[in-house]
Amino acid sequence: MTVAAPRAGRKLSVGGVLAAVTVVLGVLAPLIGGRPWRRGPGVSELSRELASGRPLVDAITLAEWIRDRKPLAILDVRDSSAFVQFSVPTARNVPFEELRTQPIDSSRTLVLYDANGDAAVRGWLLLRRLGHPHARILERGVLGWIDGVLQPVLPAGTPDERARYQRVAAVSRYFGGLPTIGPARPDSSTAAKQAVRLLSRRGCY
Amino acid sequence: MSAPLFELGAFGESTSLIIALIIGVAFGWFLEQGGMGNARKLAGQFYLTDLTVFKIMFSAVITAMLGLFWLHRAGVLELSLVYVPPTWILPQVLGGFVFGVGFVMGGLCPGTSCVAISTGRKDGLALLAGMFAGILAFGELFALLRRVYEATPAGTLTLPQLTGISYPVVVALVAVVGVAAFRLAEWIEQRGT
Repeated sequence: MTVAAPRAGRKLSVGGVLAAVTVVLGVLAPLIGGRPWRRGPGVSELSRELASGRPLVDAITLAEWIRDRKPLAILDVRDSSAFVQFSVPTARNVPFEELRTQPIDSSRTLVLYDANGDAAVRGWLLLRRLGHPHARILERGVLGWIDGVLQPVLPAGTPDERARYQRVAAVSRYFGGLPTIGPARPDSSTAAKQAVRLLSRRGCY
Repeated sequence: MSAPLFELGAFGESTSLIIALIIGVAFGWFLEQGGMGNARKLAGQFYLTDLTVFKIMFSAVITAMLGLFWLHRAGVLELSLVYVPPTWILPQVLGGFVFGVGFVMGGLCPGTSCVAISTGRKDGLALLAGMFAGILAFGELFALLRRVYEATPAGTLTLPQLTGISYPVVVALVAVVGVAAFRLAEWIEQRGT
């Protein structure tokens, strides 16, 4: 049996084919590739933003915003079973997995929350990187709402403390809460700090 | 858009670690197949007798670049969510220098030293021990090094941002330059033999 030897001039090496495909895909990019670079801030900018604490909103401030009818979109990023059991008033349930696909009105201030703040931070990162400018995170999530609005415990020894207590108590009662005078709970907001640590990691090559 | 899978919540942290392990093993296997577990082959890069490292790096860069670009174009991947490591100029220049000295002396980089160990090479083991000693020393001295470590942050930099050239044109230029550089590398290798 004889096998016809390929003519030298027609022989195509694997490397040659790959090089040709690379050049074709590269040259086609500016011709039919469009302009895909739709980009929000980078991770280091977001890390600094998160470390500054600016994206966080405490439960009392959020409660005042809701009471005062500020244009808000409050997004509960927990799953629907947790949302049915308890949710922050006026919140809409958009589980984390659906954040990317749900239509979100970015002209309103977005406030994200979850059980304790972790998934909300991830959701905030996602929305900010997709270019939503006004996104905030409810500090400590549902726990923050319960501790801060529904069952606030605040000292009222000094005039400043009394003024703060009056402010919190008024909002708390508006939402059916039970404000109490007592020693303040320690602040245990860690979700944002953890997220900053996560973002501060440097790549490993 | 359904990717990046982790960023869009397709799986959690623990699953991501399992996936990382699988990808890591595959990466190591391909490096070994490419001869990257061999310190002599890697050292050839510095003497311009064997440019396999250069060719592997360029192939990886171009494959990833074209893959990301066209997957985004096809609506599979959201490019703005892909993690781009931020730049710190001074610590990365210093780190690159230390890395380079270690690479020339040992003939292996951290990844390829693991690959070398998998085939029983003792030099890989020595380098891995050195790497962990370095990590330990860095960790212990971090308080002293912190000012350098955090100096000159430049944020997330990309070629389109730095040059002002549009992203698809950068893709085309890198692809063409990459193929040309690949050919040049082969020419240098043939000339040497």
